[in-house]
Amino acid sequence: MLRKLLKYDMAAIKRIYTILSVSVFAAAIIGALCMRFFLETMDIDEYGFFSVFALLFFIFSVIAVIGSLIVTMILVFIRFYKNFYSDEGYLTFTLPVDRKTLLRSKTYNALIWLGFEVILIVLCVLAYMLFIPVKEHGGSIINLIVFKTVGYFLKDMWDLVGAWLIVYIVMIIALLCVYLWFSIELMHFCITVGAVIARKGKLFAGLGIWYGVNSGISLVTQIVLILSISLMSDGYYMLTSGAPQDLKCACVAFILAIVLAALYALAEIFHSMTLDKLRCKLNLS
Amino acid sequence: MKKYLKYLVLLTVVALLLSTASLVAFAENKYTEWTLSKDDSILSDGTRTFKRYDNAPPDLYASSSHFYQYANPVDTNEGYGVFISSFSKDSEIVWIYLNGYNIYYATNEGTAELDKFLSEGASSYVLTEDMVKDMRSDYTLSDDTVKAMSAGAETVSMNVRSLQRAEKYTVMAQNGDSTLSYIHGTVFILDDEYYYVEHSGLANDLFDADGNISLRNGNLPLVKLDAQTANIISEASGSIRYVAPTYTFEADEKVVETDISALVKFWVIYILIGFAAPIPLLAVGLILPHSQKLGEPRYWYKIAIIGAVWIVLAAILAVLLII
Repeated sequence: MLRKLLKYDMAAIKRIYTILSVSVFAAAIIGALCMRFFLETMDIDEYGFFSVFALLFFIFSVIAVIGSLIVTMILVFIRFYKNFYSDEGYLTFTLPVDRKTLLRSKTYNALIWLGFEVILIVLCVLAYMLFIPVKEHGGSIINLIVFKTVGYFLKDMWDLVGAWLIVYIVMIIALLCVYLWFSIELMHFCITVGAVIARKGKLFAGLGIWYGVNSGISLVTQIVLILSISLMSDGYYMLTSGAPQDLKCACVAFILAIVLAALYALAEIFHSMTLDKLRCKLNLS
Repeated sequence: MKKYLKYLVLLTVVALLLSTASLVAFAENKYTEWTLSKDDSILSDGTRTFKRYDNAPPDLYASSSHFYQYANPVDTNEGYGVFISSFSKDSEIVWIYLNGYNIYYATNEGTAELDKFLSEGASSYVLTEDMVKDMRSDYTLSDDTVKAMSAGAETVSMNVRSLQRAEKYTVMAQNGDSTLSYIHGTVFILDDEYYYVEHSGLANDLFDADGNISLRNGNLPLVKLDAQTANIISEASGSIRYVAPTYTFEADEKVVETDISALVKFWVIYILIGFAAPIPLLAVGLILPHSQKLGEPRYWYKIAIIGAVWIVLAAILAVLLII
């Protein structure tokens, strides 16, 4: 049943997202070429007007890339809200599916589309990195200098930490995935709370609650981070100075694992609370 | 629930006991004590004697990827202290940086190594931009390429003033382990033509005090590079990468005194974040499944498991930090 729900959830967004992603990617490539044109002709008076136009188009393309993220989030969370808390919700809860599966379908739907969005943003950034840098002493339209710099950085990191680099990369990717999941669960929870406590303007109430909760969590996280780093750095340095490199790398890996566990716990808590509220809200089955 | 709380309290006490194990005073160790003779010619660390190496040309660079700096400075004849650097702790060559130059000191083995490098020539060559030749470049040139550069297509004599607007690259000759280098020759790019001059064999008045070609007066016998060699130099632009050296400081190797307050602060915060913070997760995860009002027990147990995993990870990390 989960597959069927997910299929319809994805089908609802697929068409708009496809058009959006193709347009944004095309805008990114054209924007990158425009920026390259601007950099190569900004000192030439004859191209003055076209240079400015090219720069403006580049700025527009960057705004389009950032905007595509916001649009994707709107598409995904509006679907969640409409399916559960608008008139459509009345029909949704008459389906022979338990609340857990319904919520899971929405979560997976959000994860998939936001995952695609992250890939789209990465592709757009790659396009910028590929076409914008001006190649010295002639050369083609594509300049690999940024990729070479990234490659050299990775090589330096490999020289420093060895195979632990692979562990760190895997853990960072896992952290990003869990953070994405946490963000989705937080939004679902806030929309749910907004729908429960507000009689009118439920979606705006949910957005307001999300803004407050998100700001609160960010503030607490920043305070904890700043305090921890300032109070713990000397002691950590004293404990690890003179230790073998492998031990130091293992400590960093464990710190990342603890952060991953904390984030996972938060995501799971918000998911459980959202599910609880869903169960209480409507019980027609 | 009480049983779980007992275990949690026990775990916290164990963590506190483990943390006190780290408050052991580190043994105080002495750093290397250096002495310099009155005429600055002999440097000693108490066990080895380093003689000043007077045969070093002005363009001899320490271009290793790693340097070691001793903690204690040594007083020079000029009245101030300078730190002693080396490639590693047991290297036979050390140097001090004085008045803009490296002054090298070497044991008998180090002296033989330097003599061999300066007399027998390079083990490898690298190309570097002229302004950063004291940094380690990774753009290597083969022996055949360097020979081809010295042979060249034709030889021209050019006034050095006309080379002032030329783009310059330097060919650095390196020793076997790429820790030392000197200038083998200079490439000039002028009006899309590539020229090379090998430094050995040139008259002294063509150099400045740093061993670089002086562009004030004189004529330079340049070799015009053939097309293939010129291409290699042309490709170098944008491809040369400099390796930033890493440093080890003797001062960091041993802790002279333990800062108890820093350790206490570290462990207090660590216990709060690592052990105290996940306790509410455990409590919530173990109590709520028994509540009839709130959802499926499975979800709440998941949260308790995550809390337990958090505590286990923190415990393992604490053990790693203590050992």
